[in-house]
Amino acid sequence: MLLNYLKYRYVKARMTAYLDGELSIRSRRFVARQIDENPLCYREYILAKQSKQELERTLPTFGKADTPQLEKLWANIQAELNQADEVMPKQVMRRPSYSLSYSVAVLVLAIILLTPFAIDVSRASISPIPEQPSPEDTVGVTSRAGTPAPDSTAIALAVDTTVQVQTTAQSEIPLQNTPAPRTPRT
Amino acid sequence: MTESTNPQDDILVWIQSAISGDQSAYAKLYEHFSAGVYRLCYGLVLNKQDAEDVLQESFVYAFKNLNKYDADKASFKTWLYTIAVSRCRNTYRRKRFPTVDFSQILQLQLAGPKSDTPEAAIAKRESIDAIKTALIELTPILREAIILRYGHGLTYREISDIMECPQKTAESRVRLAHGKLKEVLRPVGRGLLDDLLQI
Repeated sequence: MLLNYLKYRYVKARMTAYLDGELSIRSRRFVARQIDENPLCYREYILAKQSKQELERTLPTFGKADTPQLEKLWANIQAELNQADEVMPKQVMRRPSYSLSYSVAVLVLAIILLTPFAIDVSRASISPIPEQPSPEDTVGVTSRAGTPAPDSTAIALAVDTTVQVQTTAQSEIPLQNTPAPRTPRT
Repeated sequence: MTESTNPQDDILVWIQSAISGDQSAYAKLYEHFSAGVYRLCYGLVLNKQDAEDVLQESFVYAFKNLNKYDADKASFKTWLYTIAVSRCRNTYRRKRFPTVDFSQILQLQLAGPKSDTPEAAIAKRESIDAIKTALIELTPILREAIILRYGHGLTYREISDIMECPQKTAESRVRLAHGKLKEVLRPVGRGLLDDLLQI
């Protein structure tokens, strides 16, 4: 009983395909045999065939238009096509404006893209030379090896030649209000 | 409608003539395809006014872009139907819910073929109404598939081209739509079914 029901479900699901000739040979033979042997399958076959015939007979007549209706629509179509022909030259005239707008858009895009580079270049030309840190900043700084940093004055003397010149000049100036160095008595 | 020995060749000639500026070629193309495109649009949007709008938009677009049509890729019918289906999808998006044209239904009730007996006319009207109700219940994708398959007799290859999906997907959509419609149409054909089973 259950087996018959399952076979019926199988045949029912494939009945439209069977009627349209889309089943494989094996499935087709199985469905045909069930239609012959099983009354339920036969009933399903009759129903499907009948509904198919009903659709094939009725649907082609569904929404049939009459001639005056189609003629009226043809007049509308002709009018629309003629109107389109008149509008066509204007569309041709529009083309340059489209291309112009595209070129303007490209130009604006190029300006936007190139502006940061231009700004960077100008900044590079006017930017001041970075200053050397003042000697006070280096006080207390230790070297990487852990030895104390050299005295800032010494650095200044070593680097700045003008300072060195000044110190040399100061050493040559005779000292005032200072006693002359003593000479040991013999 | 214009019938000829080889319609495909005629259509290609009309397309070439239309591209070169022959106005009568446009008229021939419209005359040949308009009824089919209208039926397609009406089947998809289920509203007379929307179907007319979509038909007009589709033909205007197709005629303006006729030089873009490539006969090697698909038939002109497939190309035109693709445009129409695309426009119908725009209409679904705009309207969200499909509306039913009741005036069309009333017209169908009044105007029946003279050869039909009253019983046959009633049965036919009931059948059309039932199908219309069933189509409204379907999703737009399934409706497209079933209309193209059974309403226009297109192959699965053509349906897949128009719906821009693989062929297997088109097949499964048609199968799914048929399954749903079968459930809706079942009560309509109950009497016929019983007759068939009694034989």
